Amino acid sequence: MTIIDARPEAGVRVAGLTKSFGGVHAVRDVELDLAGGVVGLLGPNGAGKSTLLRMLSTVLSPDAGRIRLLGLDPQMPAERLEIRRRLGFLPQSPGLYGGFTAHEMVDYVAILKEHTDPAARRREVVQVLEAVGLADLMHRKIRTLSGGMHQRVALAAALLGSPQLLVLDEPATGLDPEQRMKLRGLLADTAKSGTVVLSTHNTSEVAALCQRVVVMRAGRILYDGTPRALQSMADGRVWEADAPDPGAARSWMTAEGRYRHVGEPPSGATHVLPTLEDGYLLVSVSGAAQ
Amino acid sequence: MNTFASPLVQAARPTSRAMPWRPLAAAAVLLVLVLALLRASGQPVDTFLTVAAAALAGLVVGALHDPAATLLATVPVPIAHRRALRLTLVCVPVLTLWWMLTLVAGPSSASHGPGPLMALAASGVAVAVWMPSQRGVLVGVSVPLAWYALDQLVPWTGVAADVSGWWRTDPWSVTACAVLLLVAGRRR
Repeated sequence: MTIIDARPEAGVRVAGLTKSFGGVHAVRDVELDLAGGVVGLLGPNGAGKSTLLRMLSTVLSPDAGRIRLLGLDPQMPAERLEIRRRLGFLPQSPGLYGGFTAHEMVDYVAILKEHTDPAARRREVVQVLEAVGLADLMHRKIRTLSGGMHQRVALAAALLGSPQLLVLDEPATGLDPEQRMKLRGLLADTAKSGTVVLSTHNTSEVAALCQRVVVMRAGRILYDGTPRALQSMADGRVWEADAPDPGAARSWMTAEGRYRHVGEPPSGATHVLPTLEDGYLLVSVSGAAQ
Repeated sequence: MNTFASPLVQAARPTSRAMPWRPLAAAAVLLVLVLALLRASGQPVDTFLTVAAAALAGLVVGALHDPAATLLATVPVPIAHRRALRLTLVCVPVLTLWWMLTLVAGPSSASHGPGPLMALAASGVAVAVWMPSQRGVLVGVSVPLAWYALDQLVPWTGVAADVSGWWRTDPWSVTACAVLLLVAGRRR
């Protein structure tokens, strides 16, 4: 039997978490214990990242397993309400009202987040819009803003109330490199006083942002540790050659026209320094083989 | 002590701005025009008023559609309260429109109370709430129209005929059952 500690400071604690949709296991027997910092979920499409994030944000209930968020049980209505007061959530496809301005949209979310003091709410709405770099555009209609700006409006809404738990499903989607840099700073600030859990396909995001990375595939966790340790798993298992190597677990052509391989290298191979992506590929290949 | 208005009260104005009013406005113009034409040509209006009740009920259910539902999925104000606010906001103009239609229809429409409209709308809302995800609203919108069509177009007999016409013959019982279903599904 798994015993879960209910310490109020605990960010996320889940044990045996399972969720299925129509007989398809989206998340299987997941164990996680996250307390502070930025945690990245990496995995291919259909790995179960979004389903796990939706359970961590109280949107979905698990079929089996235990879950505690901020030391509270989201299955209990009163505790779920308290979690939601301290939670920020950015869904994968956040819908917005095209006829609202960015300010009106975030203000509306703030009202529904029980920020009932109009003056204080207005100040905070401006503050979060400034934080995501939309101060100059806050009075533009959402329908006139780009996709990346929509993402930032939704991110601003998630940041309302300085959440202790921030759950972000692919937050960097649609952002240009400069906005990604700003996002990194923003999440690092949030993580000083809480826990940030985000999903991404991008290993460079994880390397730049996360103190911890969780690799998922087919609903299971294949790896849970630091990005550096994930990268070092590929030490001595990455090599380059002029031709593809059929014995490699994964091969691809680099920008220089050479072939990069991960797996068990042949004798005499030209080893190169591994990246986080190499480590991720190795882990996900071994997970797929299992 | 918190002296500010509750979130739901403060949310009423932006929620009303976020709702799709154009279909209701278009339906209002169309229904009043057709009814005026029927009256001018001396045609009976009973069937028209029944169709109007089903159409307006569909529009009431459609008001549950919230494009920002995923973004608002984790706000502390419960979804049941937000839905109730949307329904309250849409019911005021819909019932006003219904009252106007019965006025234009004249004395022959005295038997057309808002009961069938309420029964069809409540049934659609109950189905929408109990169906999973946003598809529920689409299915819920089709309930009033489908029930009307089943009642009017299929020559039922016996118990089936009673059930298919239940929304007309005993609308307040249908409404009460639908409200009970809604209360049971308020956390969905």
